[in-house]
This record gives sequence, structure tokens and C-alpha cells, in this order.
Amino acid sequence: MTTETKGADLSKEGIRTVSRREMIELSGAALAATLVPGLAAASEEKTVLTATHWGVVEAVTRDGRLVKALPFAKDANPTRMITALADAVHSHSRISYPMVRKGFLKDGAAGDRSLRGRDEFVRVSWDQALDLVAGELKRVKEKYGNAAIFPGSVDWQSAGLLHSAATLTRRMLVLHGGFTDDTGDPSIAAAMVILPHVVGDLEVYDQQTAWPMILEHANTVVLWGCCMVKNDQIGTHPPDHYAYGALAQLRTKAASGKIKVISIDPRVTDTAQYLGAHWIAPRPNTDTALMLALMHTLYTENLYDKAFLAKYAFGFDKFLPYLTGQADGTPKTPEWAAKITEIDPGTIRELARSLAGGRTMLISGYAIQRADHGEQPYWALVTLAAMLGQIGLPGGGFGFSYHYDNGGSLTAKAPGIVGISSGDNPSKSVLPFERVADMLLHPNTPFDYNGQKMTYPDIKMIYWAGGNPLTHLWNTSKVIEAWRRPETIVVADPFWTPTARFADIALPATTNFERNDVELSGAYSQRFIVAMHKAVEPVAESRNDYDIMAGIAKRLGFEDKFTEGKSEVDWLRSFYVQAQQAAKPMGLQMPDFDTFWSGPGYIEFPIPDDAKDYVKHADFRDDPVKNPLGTPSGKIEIFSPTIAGFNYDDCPPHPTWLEPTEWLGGAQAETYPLHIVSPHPQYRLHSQLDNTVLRHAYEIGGREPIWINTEDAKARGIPQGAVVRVFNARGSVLAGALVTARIRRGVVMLQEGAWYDPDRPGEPDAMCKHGLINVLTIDKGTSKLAQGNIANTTLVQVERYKEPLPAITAFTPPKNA
Amino acid sequence: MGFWGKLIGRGAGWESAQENCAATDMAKQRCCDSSLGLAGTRVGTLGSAASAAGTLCALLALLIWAASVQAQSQNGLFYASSDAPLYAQASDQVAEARITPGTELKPTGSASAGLQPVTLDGWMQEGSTTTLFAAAGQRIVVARLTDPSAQPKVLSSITDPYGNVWHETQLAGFVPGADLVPDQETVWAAAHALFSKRCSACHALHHPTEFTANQWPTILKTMTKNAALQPDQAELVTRYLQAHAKP
Repeated sequence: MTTETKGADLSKEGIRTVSRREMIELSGAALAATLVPGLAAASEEKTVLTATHWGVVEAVTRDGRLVKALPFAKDANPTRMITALADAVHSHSRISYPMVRKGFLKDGAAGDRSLRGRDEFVRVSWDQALDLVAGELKRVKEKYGNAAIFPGSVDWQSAGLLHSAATLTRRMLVLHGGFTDDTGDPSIAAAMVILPHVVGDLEVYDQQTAWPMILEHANTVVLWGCCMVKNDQIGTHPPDHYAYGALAQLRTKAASGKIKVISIDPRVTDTAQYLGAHWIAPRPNTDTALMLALMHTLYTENLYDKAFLAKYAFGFDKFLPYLTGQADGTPKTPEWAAKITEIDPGTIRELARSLAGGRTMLISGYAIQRADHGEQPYWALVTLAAMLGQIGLPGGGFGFSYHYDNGGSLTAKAPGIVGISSGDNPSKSVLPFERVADMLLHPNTPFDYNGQKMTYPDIKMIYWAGGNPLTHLWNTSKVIEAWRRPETIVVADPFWTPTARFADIALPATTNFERNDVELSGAYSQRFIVAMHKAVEPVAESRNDYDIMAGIAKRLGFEDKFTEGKSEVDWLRSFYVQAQQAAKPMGLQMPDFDTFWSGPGYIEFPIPDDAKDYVKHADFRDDPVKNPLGTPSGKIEIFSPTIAGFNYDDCPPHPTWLEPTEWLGGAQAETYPLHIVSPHPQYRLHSQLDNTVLRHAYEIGGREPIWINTEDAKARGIPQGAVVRVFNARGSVLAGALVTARIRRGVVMLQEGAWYDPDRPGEPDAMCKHGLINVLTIDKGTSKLAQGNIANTTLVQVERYKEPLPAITAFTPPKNA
Repeated sequence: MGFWGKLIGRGAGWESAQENCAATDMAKQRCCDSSLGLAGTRVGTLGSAASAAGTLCALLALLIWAASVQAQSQNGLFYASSDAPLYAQASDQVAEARITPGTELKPTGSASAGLQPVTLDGWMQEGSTTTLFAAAGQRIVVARLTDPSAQPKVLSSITDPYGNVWHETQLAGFVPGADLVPDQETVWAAAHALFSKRCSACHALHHPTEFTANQWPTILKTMTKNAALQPDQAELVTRYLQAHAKP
């Protein structure tokens, strides 16, 4: 189905005004004082500059408490989420003291691990806790070897180049002799394996063609499962929010008809709403079929660029028989695709002609590759772009990172700055990250990955810092079973997350506001280096991950190597000085560290005049022999002999439509007729900030909202605001219904990251009272090639929940905590 | 052999010197983590380091320089220790080509006036007049011709499975002895130390075998700024990764 959406202000759908009373009740007098005029106390306010995944901020404190975070003066488009940061720091969901699970304290590794997630916790001293952790690290190493230790930790932790929880954990474990590491991450697991084969590059973590080039030269912008308005609020390094200025200009161009914006998505995203985009809503997971049909039209109507393919691509001739049906008897026509996608064939043809009729920029989010056979839609998108022949032209081709780290921003002339290193892992044991549960449940069994045969290691100890796997790993009941396998689980975190509740040893870590650090802002632009000044003292007994690790290192005999004798400020100075030295040959003068730290607290680097002219792949287009792609042929590989050589039944050697394991066109849709998608949330960073006052601005019935189409809701007797049960064979969750026409029929949406809140803690088949999507998702690899996650491949049924509503307890710390 | 002898030895000796340099003092770090790669000639820049370890590094660099000019390599081959110029004639002032770190060179006589005569074998793709790769279809840059009038010797030609034509090419000329080491591991050890330090801050250190020799350069281009690598450091790390890449 397609509709035109009117251009509108940033969507407020699903957000309601938090009442003054709620603010006071829920967040404490200090927060209320800042938000409710007239209640301000008379004591003095202090403000320091620091930085977060939501942007560079001014941290305002009073009487040793963080009162609020205000936007950085140079952030033209701050995110509203920073209003919740102070609430997070002083949240009652903080872990206050080191705590050990009662059963583990009593019986250690020999105890009943099924008690994880529901046992009582016992407070211990830091010395006791660190003795315990170090003792376990030593015991496991001696008994099972270093490969039995797994840190996981590919999560978002907190910003900062020194206090990087994952890096520090690895640094300590390297010195301890090694550990099983992971490769890939849940955002781009399929993409990071397929794209190096197809275009010889990662693409997904690269700077993109500058926005001005799109604004000036593109006639059509396609957003394929991509919402910049939502996702560019946050960044791996504090974001510069460049995208919003560009989107404002794009909105103007769209409104005047200069640029046509098309959003291909099961729902009307905030970006589509904002830009007044033309909406095309295929069934989820059918993107490859739609792309193939577009290519088929380009081919049969002779609208494709033969010369470009001849010069810049390899293997089109080997792919063509599949496209035309000569190879398998099935031409990939719009009629064929219509049955799969539910997009009318006329619309598909019109779209193909439209794309070929001018300069077209194809922009994809990560969503379409977080699905079964996720390698295929990305491969198909690049092939489609190759047939259009505009790769390397200003405003043409494809881009995979406009929604991430504000890709398309203007790259500054900057030296870069690097933080603390973890070093060389002596153990060669590695796991494609998505396969964590399978590793724990099936140790020592073989599996395929990117042409290699690998074996799952046998993990006996987990030390997870700065992450929340019990929320982001797929198929929660399977994860809970898997989580019972290791002998020892240590979790370091500021909060009593669902993961901390399943720990044997929970260590309270500080947030970025409680320590000094340094960051760069604009992961791609690198426009600023920012001093992260400590705003408040560590809350309760929390400690910096650095100090936690140093304490463990001391007990294991390598504290000197871990700290290198440096204090916190020594480290920060060393990062800064290295950047300063790199800056000199670039003709950039940076002030000395002390001036930087105690002065304005940031350095702004210049943007060269030609930064706005940057076009990705232009040098390849200009001279493909001098600037080849990193593929065996040096060209775009539409057919990959390398992948052909792997002989994988679930990853053929060219873009292919493969039916997902569950989808609306399959038999399971008779039992579970709704396809659920789970994009990154609008008002969180994954699960971060769910434990703050912010959730009251979007939750429905105290639970995660589920978007459900008006007709689907009506057929089920579900009114707006009702609590519903969402379920399939893997489990069930409660959620709050948001009935809307902004999502197509047959599709529902639960944004990921709602904290897991089991009605029977510790039980694998518990119902989540709060709306965690992963209770419902499948844990399976995209294919033998990338073994990526397939979170967006899930079918469910939804019904009104008529039982008494259970209380939300996810944010209440365990007893004694 | 003593302390100094040990340092002149193989990769392990250099590594321990690196570790020594990377110890507690900033000046030490600066000296070994600078944008100078392994080149011992630019001693002047190191002279500003005030600490004992800074002096150690300077001395070390001098010794490597002295040793490299005199050293007899174990297998009769030499390796560029950093970006090195190749002169067509011993008397030339302007280089004909620039050789990349770790590249293998065959001596064709003895050194004279600090210049070592060598030949360099590589492959050039039809359509390119400037870049020599290690092997046909393996885009490991071994040299870049900087003289447009250069006439490298073509030994043979092949067509690869992708229809690309490759010419087996030989360059001959003179390389400053100061830019050569007798052992390739010396170069890779320095590259590895840099890679390990800069590329394990934001994510786990990747194994060189994670990507192919063809994939690494573009991936490095993305990462160079994240790792605050200077161009010559990026080149060194790229060559190292390519030399140890997935086949």
C-alpha cells in the first residue's frame, strides 16, 4: 500500500505530556525543582562540561547532586532525552554496593544456577567482592584455561575514551592471559560480512557522501527501513547532530517538489512524517524481492546503465539468468514480487522508472539486514544501485550510515584521538557475537562462519561490563537456559538491569557524570575534542570500571601493567598529547592539556571548504584501476566467486530471494498472523534511560507501547491504550496498545530495549510484564555466511489482556540492595 | 654480544625495546609511538626527548641505522623499514618510485656511499602506470612510481579470472641503506605494536586473518582517523595486515 504523508513537525505521536505531579513523585525533589518553577532551592549551582552518547552537555549540580543536563551551546539540535540524564544518575535503580547472590556466596560455582535471576543478594565489601572475582578468574584459568572466560561486552556502555567498560575489561583479561573474544555486533553482523565481499568495504561504519551533495544533486532520496530523526539523536561518540540541519533542508526541498522522498518501511517513520515522504509499505523481510523486481523492470525496460556495469561491476552476467528466470524458471517480475511483498506491480514499475529517471540516492538503515538472510537485501541494494549506474556521482548511489553517527556530516580537519588500549589477546578463541546462546548451550560443537569451520568454546565464566545482554540477546527463554551454564557470572553496571539481576556478583559502576574523561564529538566529523569533567562524586559505593579492574589486576599480580603507573589524569593527558602531536604536522595548534581542561573544555576543529563536496566512491568511479574496491576483482561483485566457493545453501553467490523462516507469506502466519518489527527506540538508547522518568512520557499502561494498525486492533477488540498480550510459541509479553494508521496491516511494532520484567523471575518461560521484544524473537543466524541476528523476523498474535494488571517491578532493586 | 647486540638482533629484541619505550614516561611513548615508523635517520627529531628512555630510543635508532647499513641479511634479501625512495641511478636526486614498508628487495651488488643497489619484483594492472602490487590480483602495494617517464621492465603478462590483465614487472635502482633492514620481522613487529596499541581502544583487536589482503586497505582507510594514525603509520599497519591476511 502507498500513501502520501503531509509534511509535519517532528512527530509527537506516542508522547504525552508528563504531569507536574508525576515529575515530583517519581523523580525526586531535585529534578522537580528544575522543572517546576518556584520550587528552586537557594543553594549554589555549578556547571561543568561533559559528554554522553546523547551529545555534549552541561552538567548542572547543586549540593553534590546532578540536577539537570543542558545542551552544549554548539549543539544546534540537542535531543530531548538529555532531560532524563540527571534522573538516571540518582535513580533508585542504581546498584549501591557490591552484592553477591546468596546461593553463590554459600556454594560458589557448585551451587544451583537456576536460582540466577530470582535469588536474594547479599551485600559485601569491595575487598570481599574483588577477592571473589579475582579468585574465580584464577580458578577458571587454572582449571579450564583462558578460553573459558567470556566478556561479551559489545554494548554501548558509557561515553569516554578512558573509562570504556568493554576496553578495560579486555585489557585486564589480556593481562590475565586471554579470553574468548567476540567479532561483530548486533547492529551490523550481516552487513559487516557481506559488504566486504561485495564492495570490499565495511560501509556501515564509514563516513557517507556529504549531505550537501544529496541536497544539491539528488532528484530522489529513498529511505529503506531508515529513520534518521530517531536514530541520529545518539552516537557511539557524543553526536554532533549534524543530520537535523540537513533534514530541515531536505524537508524544504521535498515540500517544493525539488526532491522526491520515498520511505520504504512497514510504518510511517518520524523521518517520513517529517519530510512528507511517499510511503511504500511492503511486508517485512521482503525487501530483496522488491529490489529484484525493480531490477527486473530496469532490465526489461532498458533503463539500466550497461556501461557502468561493464566498467565497475563483476558478475552481472552470472546474476542475470536468475533475475530473468532463465536459471530457475521464475522471472523476478513485479507480478512475482507483488505476491511476496503485497506491493502492487504498477507501483513497483513506477518506482523503478522514477529511480532511473534522475539522480537517485538509496539510503538504508540497518533494519533490513537484521532479518533472516539479512545478507541478501544489502547485496541486492548495492546491485540495484549498480544497475542505476550512479555510484560515485554526487547525490547518487547508496549509503548505509546516514541514520548512524550522523553520517553525511562535514568531516573536520582533525587529528583524531585514541583512548586506552586493550592490547593483544593471547587466546585466539573468537565467537561471532550473535551466537552467544548457542555457544553456552552447545560448547565444543562446530559451526560455519564466513567460509570457516569454527567450534564453540566451552565458557565457564562471564564478566560482562557496561552492557545488558538479558535485554538484547534474542529468544529470552533460550538465553535464560544458556545463562545457567557458566559457573560464574560477574556483572559490572551502574544499574540493576535485568542482566545485573541474573549475576552471581554485581559490582556497582559509576556513570560518566561521576568521573573525568575525554571524548571526541562527531564520530565521523571529529569536529570536537571534549573534556568530560566529573560533575558529582560516585553515588553510594559505586566505583569506576578502571578502578574495579585495577583492583582485580592487583589481586592477580599485574596491577602495574594494567595502570602503567598512570593516574586518571595521566591517562587523559597522554591521549590528548598524542592528538596534539598528530595535529602539528596537519598545521593545527592545540593548546596544552591544562589550558584545554580548565578553559572552555573543548577544542573545535575547522571544517575544510571542500568537506561539503565529499562523495563516497567518487575516486573508484574516477579510476577503478588506480582506486580499486577491496574485492578480488577490484570491482563491485554482483556475483562472488568467493561466496560460491563456500557452497552455502542459505547464502547463494549472488543476491537471491530466500523465504524467511517466519513471515506473513508462510504457513506459520495462520497461527501468528502479525509480523512484529523492533526498531531502535525513539526515547532511549537501546535499554538506557528506560529506568528514568522519561519512560512515563511514552509508556502506555506502564508498559512498552506496541503500534498496531487501526483495522487489526478493531478486529481484535483492542481500543487505544489497552494492555495487550503479545505472544508466540517462544513466549509472551504485555504491552500497551498504540492504535494507529501509521503502521500497515499485518505488522506490529515494539521498539527494542524495554527492561525485561518477568512475572516469574529466573524461569525461562516467564511472561514479561513490561514489553521486552526478545521474549518473542528467534535466535538463529542470518546464514552460514554472517551468522547475524534475525530480530526483525518474528511472527506473533496479539490479544487484549483481560486479567488484573501485574505491577511493574523491573525498576525496583532486589531486596537488601 | 651484550645489551646492544641483543637490541640489534631480531624482532623480539626490537619488541622488548618497544615495550621499554612504552613504559611509564610520556617522553618514552612519544619517541616510540611517533609518526616516524622505524626510520632511524630522523634522529634530530628524537633529540628533543629529555628522559633517559628518550635517549635510549635515540641511541637505539642510531644503532639500527648503523647496523642496517653494514648488516648481512640472513637470506640475502633486504626489506624496506619504512616508506623508502628508489633512485634509478645512484647519482639521482629525485626518486623514481617510493617503496612501501616491509617490501622485499633483492640486492644486486654491495652498498656504496650509503646506497644499496636492488631489484624489486611486482605486478602492475593494465590501465595503471603507477602501482606495483605484490602479486597479480593481490593488491598489496609494494611500490608507487613517482617518475612519469619511468620504464619498468615487463617480464610476463596474465589475465585473471575477472578479466583483469596483469604485467609481471621489475624495478631496478638504488635505495638508501638507512631505509633497509635485513629482517622483515623487524618491520612487522613495529607495525604490530602500533596496531595493538591504536586499534584495540574502541573495539577488540581484530586478527589480521579476519579480512583478505584486498579488503584491508579500504577498511584501514575508514579506521585511520579513528585510530589517529598518520599517513605513514597507516601505510605501515596496512602492509602488516595485508602480509598476515586471510588467504
